Amino acid sequence: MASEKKVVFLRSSDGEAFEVSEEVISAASVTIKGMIDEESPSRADTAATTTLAIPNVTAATLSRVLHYVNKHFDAAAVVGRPDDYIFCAPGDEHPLARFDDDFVDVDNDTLIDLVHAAEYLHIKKLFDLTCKAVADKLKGRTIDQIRETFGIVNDYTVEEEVEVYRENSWAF
Amino acid sequence: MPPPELMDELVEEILVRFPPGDPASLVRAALVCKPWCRLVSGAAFRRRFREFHHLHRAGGGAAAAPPLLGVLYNSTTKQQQVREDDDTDEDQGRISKRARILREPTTACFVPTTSFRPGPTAHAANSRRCYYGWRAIDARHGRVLLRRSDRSPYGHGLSVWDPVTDEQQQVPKPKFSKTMLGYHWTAAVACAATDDCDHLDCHRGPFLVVVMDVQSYVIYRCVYSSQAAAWSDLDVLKRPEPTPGVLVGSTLYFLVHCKDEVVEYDLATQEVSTIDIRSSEFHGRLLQRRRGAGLVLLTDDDGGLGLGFVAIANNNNNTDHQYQLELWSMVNGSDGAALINNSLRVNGFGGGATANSRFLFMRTTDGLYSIDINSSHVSKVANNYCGDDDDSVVPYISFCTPNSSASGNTAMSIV
Repeated sequence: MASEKKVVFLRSSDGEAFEVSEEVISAASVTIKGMIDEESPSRADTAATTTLAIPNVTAATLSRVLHYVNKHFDAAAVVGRPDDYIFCAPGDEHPLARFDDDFVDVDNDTLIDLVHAAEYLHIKKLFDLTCKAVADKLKGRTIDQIRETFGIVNDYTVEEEVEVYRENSWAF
Repeated sequence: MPPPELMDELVEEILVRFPPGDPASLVRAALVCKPWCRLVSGAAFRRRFREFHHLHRAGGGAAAAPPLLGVLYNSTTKQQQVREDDDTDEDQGRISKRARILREPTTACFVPTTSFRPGPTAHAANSRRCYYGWRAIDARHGRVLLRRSDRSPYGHGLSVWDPVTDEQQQVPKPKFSKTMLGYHWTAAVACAATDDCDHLDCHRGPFLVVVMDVQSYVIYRCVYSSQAAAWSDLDVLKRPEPTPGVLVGSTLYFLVHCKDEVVEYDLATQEVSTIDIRSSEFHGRLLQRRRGAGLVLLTDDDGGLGLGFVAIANNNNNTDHQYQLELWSMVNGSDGAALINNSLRVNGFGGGATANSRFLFMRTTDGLYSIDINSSHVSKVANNYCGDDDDSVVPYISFCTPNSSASGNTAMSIV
């Protein structure tokens, strides 16, 4: 008996293909759902599986994204739970809260790649989670550290900077 | 390897998730580079920031917003000095004894609970802002209502101060004289836009000051409008019969002490009504109230109303030192609003409670604590608290982002 669960393959920018349930990825990613819907008339009765190219996301990032997607959109544990548990009170433990904490406990580059991937694939929950994680990392850092993190060039002149520090001394 | 570049549109997504309870972090972000500064001090970002965090408040919890930026507490000046000095117990005893004797006018002090400091040029270490001879009596929609303290030699008067913009407006003398109002008159400040304002960012807009004096048979009411820069005439209303009450938005609530009654003033319709809070179950618990502990109103921006007090714990017959915090909330029912008990079973509190917001304050021997009734989150506000009575703490709740404090000549206008 053929599997009732349709799968699709996602091909990363560096050519690696990943298998994922069509139902799961459609629920998770608006972008991929759109791709599948576009493809579907041509493959209505064929048994062939679809391979979708994801040119903006590397294999390393895509495998992480799919790990997240499988946990979040294919788990009985999440059914009936509020989606925005990220904002739950401390101590109000959500089954996936621990998973999410660990998921974003990665180095900067990986985290930024995940933000970009979540944005491109249009996975709202993952986007919220990763943006929040970047914000949490940044909020405690000094201005120089933030510049270093993102390779931002300081475009304030010395005079402006002195003035700015003087006028906002309460924030330092 | 060069650091990853962040696409411009993602910068906003990340900065909008900065915690509203730590306004300094956004200011630091603004100083990273000029594009970031332009972004976070822009009106569009300010709007989004408030809406984002206000929205997520619905889920409750630690991200609850707008944040408690600080509290105003009223104390007498000599007692204030005790706080400032790092004295031994012996010294404190001596100075507070002197303070009691002198009975100096009240000082209203803003004590920050976050990185926020009133005024753009305040220094982080210079955390307190004090108004000598004034008493803070209310704060709402980002504004604080100050009143000349009774013992002040300068006569009575009202003033509205916005800590975020650090602008203060004197409210002219009302048309009524002090003798026309009783001893227990009370007042509230509110944004004047009742219909089309979410009060997330209305700092420089027009405001109202409502003065209310509830006496045995009549209610005196007088309203100041900053737009008209004038007081209304003093209305003398026949005191309405207490009703079960129906909760609506845009309502100010006043607790009538000693009468177990709540007076509501609808800002939109200007109607005054009273709510009877003497439901049998509630009253039963109220009788168990700790001696000297006040009954306080708890309100939130969505029109929710609650009452809180400290009472002797229900299930403790051995000792009279076990107290619990009783929280009751008004819930709309088919025949009006009723009080529902949803007590936080926080045992062991020994202090009074004070509030008129979603925050409740507890005086304990260990200091002053705030409790967010939405999330049950408890945090310490001050180490030793010298407020002089139960309504001495007024919470200041507001958003603060870069430029909301800028008066045109600050750093944020460089870009």
